[in-house]
Amino acid sequence: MSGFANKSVPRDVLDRAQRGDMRAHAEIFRAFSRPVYTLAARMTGSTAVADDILQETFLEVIRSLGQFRAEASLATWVRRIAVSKSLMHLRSAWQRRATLFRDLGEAEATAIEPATPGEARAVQLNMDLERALARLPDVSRVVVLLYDVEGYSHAEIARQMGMSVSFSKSQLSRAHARLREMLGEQRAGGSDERAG
Amino acid sequence: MNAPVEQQLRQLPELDPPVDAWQRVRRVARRERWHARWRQFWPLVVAGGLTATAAVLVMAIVLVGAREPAVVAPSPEWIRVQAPAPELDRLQAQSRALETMLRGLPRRPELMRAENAAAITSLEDRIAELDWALSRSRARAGVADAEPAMWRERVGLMGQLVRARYTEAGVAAY
Repeated sequence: MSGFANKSVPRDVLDRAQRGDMRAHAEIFRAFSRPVYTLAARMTGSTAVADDILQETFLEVIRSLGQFRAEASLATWVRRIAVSKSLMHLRSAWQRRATLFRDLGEAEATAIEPATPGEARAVQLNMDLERALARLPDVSRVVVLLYDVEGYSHAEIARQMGMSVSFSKSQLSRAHARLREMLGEQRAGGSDERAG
Repeated sequence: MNAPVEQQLRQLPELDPPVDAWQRVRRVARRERWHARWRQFWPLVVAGGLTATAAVLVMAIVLVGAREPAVVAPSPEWIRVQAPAPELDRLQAQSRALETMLRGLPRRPELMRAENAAAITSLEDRIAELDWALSRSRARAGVADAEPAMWRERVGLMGQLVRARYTEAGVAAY
């Protein structure tokens, strides 16, 4: 489930933040910083880059919240900024030359401390999946995260990334196959199709 | 591997951002706000400053340039002539007005052009010498006759000092 799901702040906090109250902005940061950081780290494959994107995202929130109209949820609006910043990073020439996914596995290992053998097993599975995700090409990884985790439609992904809907679908299909292969999963599970 | 990969992806845990992340965001946001306010108000600030210094300069020119008599080299005969009291009063009033203007100028910048700094120091030294001479003249008979000439010179030097300091302040503003 997307970390942005069911996240919100009270209306008065939003009002105060729109008037420039930094304490209200701190509350918005507390509500959304983890999903923003998580999404950015998984999209870019680097916690260091995710840290920069976290900062850029919330600076953009502070600059632009005055123009935010509550037709969409605040969570959707913040996520759109985070996705946009992450994609901008991935498109940059610097990133094209950079080595991907150096530190994600280690960061995850320190973030979770298993208490039981069952939890240890779950953590191991998560880390396997993180590493497999990390080894996907940038475009495939972004498509699979936006579609499977964030619930974007193929049309929305195509629009965000400047590609066709069919390209998004094929990237998703390939990403699933590659992940299953890397995770040693033999059976083909789940569906790659969703409306949109 | 029990669940489909899509489901596993949705169940991945969230990552914790660095603990000082908000402090960094707040610091940059405050800096941006300060710059935004400065961009909004700097034309007013600069215009106000320039208007004030221009007014000071105009006053200085009017007071010093228009009223200052031509500098006459003092001669023994001239020194012996007692200056009319109103002229001495006028020169002293001009000198006080220029002192007030000088105090109204911005503080001296830490970095300044060497030639301006040297000129200002020279003027200040000469004024200090005159002040010392004026203080002595009151105590010594005969020298008091030279007071109007010294006050005249002091007014001239103070006018030059005000202009030099204004130039220095104007250069520092950019």
